[in-house]
Amino acid sequence: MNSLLGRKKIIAGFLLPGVIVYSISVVIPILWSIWYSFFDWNGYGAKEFCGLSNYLTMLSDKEMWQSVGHTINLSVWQVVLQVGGGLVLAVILSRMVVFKRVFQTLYYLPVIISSVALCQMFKKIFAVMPPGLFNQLLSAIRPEWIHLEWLTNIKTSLGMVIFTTGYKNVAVYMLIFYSALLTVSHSLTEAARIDGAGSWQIFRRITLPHLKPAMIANVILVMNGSLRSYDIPVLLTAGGPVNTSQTQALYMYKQAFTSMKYGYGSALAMFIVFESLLFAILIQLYSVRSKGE
Amino acid sequence: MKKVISLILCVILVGSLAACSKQEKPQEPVQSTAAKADTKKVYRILSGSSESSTTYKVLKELAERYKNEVNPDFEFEAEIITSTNDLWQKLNMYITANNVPDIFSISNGLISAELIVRGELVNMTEELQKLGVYDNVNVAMKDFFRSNDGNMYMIPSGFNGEFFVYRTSTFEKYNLTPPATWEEFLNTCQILKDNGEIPYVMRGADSVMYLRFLAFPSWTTEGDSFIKELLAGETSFSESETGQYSAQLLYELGTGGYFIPGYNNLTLSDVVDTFLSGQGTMCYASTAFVGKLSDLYEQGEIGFFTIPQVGGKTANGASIPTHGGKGWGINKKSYDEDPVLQDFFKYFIEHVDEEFFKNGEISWMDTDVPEGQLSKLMNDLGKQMQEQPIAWVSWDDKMQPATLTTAGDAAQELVNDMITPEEFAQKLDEAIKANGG
Amino acid sequence: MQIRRKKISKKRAVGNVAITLISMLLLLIFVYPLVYTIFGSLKTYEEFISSPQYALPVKLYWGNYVKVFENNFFGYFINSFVIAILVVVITVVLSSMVAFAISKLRFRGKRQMELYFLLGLMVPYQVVLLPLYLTYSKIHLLNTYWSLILPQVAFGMPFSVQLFLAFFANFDNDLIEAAAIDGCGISKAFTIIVVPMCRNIIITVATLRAIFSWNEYIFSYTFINSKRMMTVVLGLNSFVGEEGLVDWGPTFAAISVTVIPTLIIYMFLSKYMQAGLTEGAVKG
Repeated sequence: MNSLLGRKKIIAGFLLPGVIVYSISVVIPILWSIWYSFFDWNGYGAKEFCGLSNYLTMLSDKEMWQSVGHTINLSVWQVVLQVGGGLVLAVILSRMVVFKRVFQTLYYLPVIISSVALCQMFKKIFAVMPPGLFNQLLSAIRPEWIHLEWLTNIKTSLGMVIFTTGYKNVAVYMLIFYSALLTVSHSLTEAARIDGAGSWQIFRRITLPHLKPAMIANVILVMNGSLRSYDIPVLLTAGGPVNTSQTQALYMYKQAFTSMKYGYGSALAMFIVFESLLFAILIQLYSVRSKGE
Repeated sequence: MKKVISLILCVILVGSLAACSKQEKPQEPVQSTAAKADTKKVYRILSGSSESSTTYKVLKELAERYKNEVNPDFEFEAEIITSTNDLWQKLNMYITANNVPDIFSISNGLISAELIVRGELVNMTEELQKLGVYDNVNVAMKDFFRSNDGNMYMIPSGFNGEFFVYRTSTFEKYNLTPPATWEEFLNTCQILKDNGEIPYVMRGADSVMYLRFLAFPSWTTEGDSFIKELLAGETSFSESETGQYSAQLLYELGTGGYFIPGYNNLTLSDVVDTFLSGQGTMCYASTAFVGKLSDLYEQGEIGFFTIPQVGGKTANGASIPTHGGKGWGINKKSYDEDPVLQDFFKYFIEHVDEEFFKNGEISWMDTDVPEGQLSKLMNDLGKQMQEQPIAWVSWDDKMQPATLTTAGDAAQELVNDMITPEEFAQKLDEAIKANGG
Repeated sequence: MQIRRKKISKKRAVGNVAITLISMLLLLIFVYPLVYTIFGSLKTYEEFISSPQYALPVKLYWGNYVKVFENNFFGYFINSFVIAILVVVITVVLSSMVAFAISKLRFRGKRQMELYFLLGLMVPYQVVLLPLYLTYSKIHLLNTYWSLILPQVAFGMPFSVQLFLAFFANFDNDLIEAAAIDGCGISKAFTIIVVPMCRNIIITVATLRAIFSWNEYIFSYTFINSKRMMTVVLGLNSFVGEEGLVDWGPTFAAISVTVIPTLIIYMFLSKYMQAGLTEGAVKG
């Protein structure tokens, strides 16, 4: 049996197709990009080798660090909104008595709508000139609120991107948490209830620890996705007034494809990868440590 | 198992090496073999003008007329990208991959300079001379599309003019006349503001209009020499009189409170729509909007005035920024090998005037406008446009993309009172130095 | 004893009402934008700019939908559909095979292989745009279905492999052993026994990948350049003119037309998806 499982032809047969497709479309292009990051290149002219100078430029590039700040800001909020919000929604869903299935499906709606469509909708809803839906509703409370700017205001454009990103994705994590909630052992909770424990205590002592693995997995997924965030910033605010909602991926795209500094853009992309790796390592350390407890 | 892993690694290594080495050698263009293989070629067009724009309509109409009247095998496929940034990105990608379309939007700037060096753009001056129409082409248009070696490598996609529009009733109310200098312009704004009117409907969704205001003073006095010297490093924004004047002008406009509330959201067409809905006293428009404006003009409810001059400095006669939009370039490699494409071009040039008049606009040849075919507004504008000594000098296609981005961002900061004119000038100078232009 | 029961049920009753109200409010927030869009798509241009945004359409105006289909939307649907199906099938097949190999077969370097596939999660898509563009251009793959299918499959593999791995971790090896002892090879055991048992996981991965592919924008935008090859998502931009001027009626109609089929399919599949997530996604 073991030799059967170890037969090389079989292993290759199972692995190779996936590995080939994955390598050609993901890994090899990344290697190219690393290569490009050591050059000064505008995409069609000559390539000039410049060693680490792109990386050094990065260190003193103010706009780059601003975008890093925005991205981390966005990512932390996404953990709160998507993981935290997802948990809250899952709990609400589990406590519902009517129309559970309907709600579950309809909450998922923003996930199904493409980013392009969602941003087009939101741009119209939050428009100022002529006033969109949101401002029209607000003006019923106070008339001067019809002039409030959401997407083009320096102070709120990042907030709008954060809100929209959370809005779009929270249901994914709600579903994962909900599935996990269903697997909480009933006998355990019943026993606890008979012993006199209140709902909140049951939640804190039994449910939450049970959800811990899912929570960690979700935090990783959310952080990873948010670090690469590009669709919504570019479609909703195009980086915002004076780049206030510009994420790293957006800045990288602008450098590579609009400013035609392809080498520098590749270096910026490598930095994003580096951040993801760093985060992954930190999480690994955390989970190893907590497992040891 | 080690064997399998090493096999995989080999594949990856070889793949990367092969790919990297292929990049170094210049590639054979994809077109040439394909064109010879099949006789029914589908011509690729990359258009930066939307389907409803006159520019695109003219090309499409003429392509279809050509197919119906001359060559039924003429097929074409158009890709339309209306966002300018995205358009250049796509074009750059095509160039990188040696996959340039047959007819494409291109402006007279850095990308075209590169293509000229590679011999990939048809020399329009030569072709138009061959067809005997070169002398008819409007002087300003020839100027607008002239590249460094003196030739035109693209034809205009239209003949557009820009101007300020004002509400006659509001002006009469406060005894105002259309401003002739910038001092008068700012004064007019102030008077309007003091009387509770909204002076100016500003396009603030992007920084294009801000850059216009910055460029007007130098354009009306020195033509294109200022921007050329600036980008070549021979003068600086902070130290030149022109630079300081321009920065100051934009600053006073922005911080004077003359803009309509919510201007940060207004795009080019939003501005006109807003003005037409009754808000604001002045705005900026172009011949693309003549259709929407002509009725009010005929009824005398709105008027137009040309670009204000710099008080105390000699004007060079430029008063209406004219431009040919993004031009149309033709892929030289396709053109030289393909008599059909050459024939289509000849047909296009012969009939382009007709199509423009049909669409209510004037063409880029100095053809006399047939009586009664255009609206009064277009007629009045057209006459002044045809007499312009120079074309509009756009900073957009002369600056390095990175400099342009910096300039736009800094202009937004200046208008929002986040930096001073001196700081603005400094930022621009630093960007020009850092990016080489 | 009886009194205590009454107290509990009263508390729960109040709780139920509160939960129902909260969930309805949430439902409003999540669903109303689409409702607004659908209503907007049924309004004429004049109605849209003159009446308040939250007003219902006066009459059902279908002109916007006509415009949408005149604009080759039917063709876009077919393109998106074909691509999505191929992406789903290929991703499921390749991911399950890779996960099975890593999980059940014996070879050195399992952990490394797993990490290798995790790399894809850390990479922003834009990085690979230019290299892939150059590659596809050389092998004449640009503007074809495959130029979209390959990267979508490749970028979907990390997540899908993880889901399958989590499922296989709990999978009973005895079944495979039994099949192997009976004389059928590993491949047969895989196809006949293992695959049918992961039905729920397959549906989960398939649904997630289908939604992703249907809505995918960056690769489609870069590699497709002719109208007949465009996907539904690219089609949404057809009504955006120069300088950002948007024709809202047809745009809203286009959005409605792309969302509604996806919503209906999702409604059918959500039951299986949830079961799949329960089985596999909660990894220890």
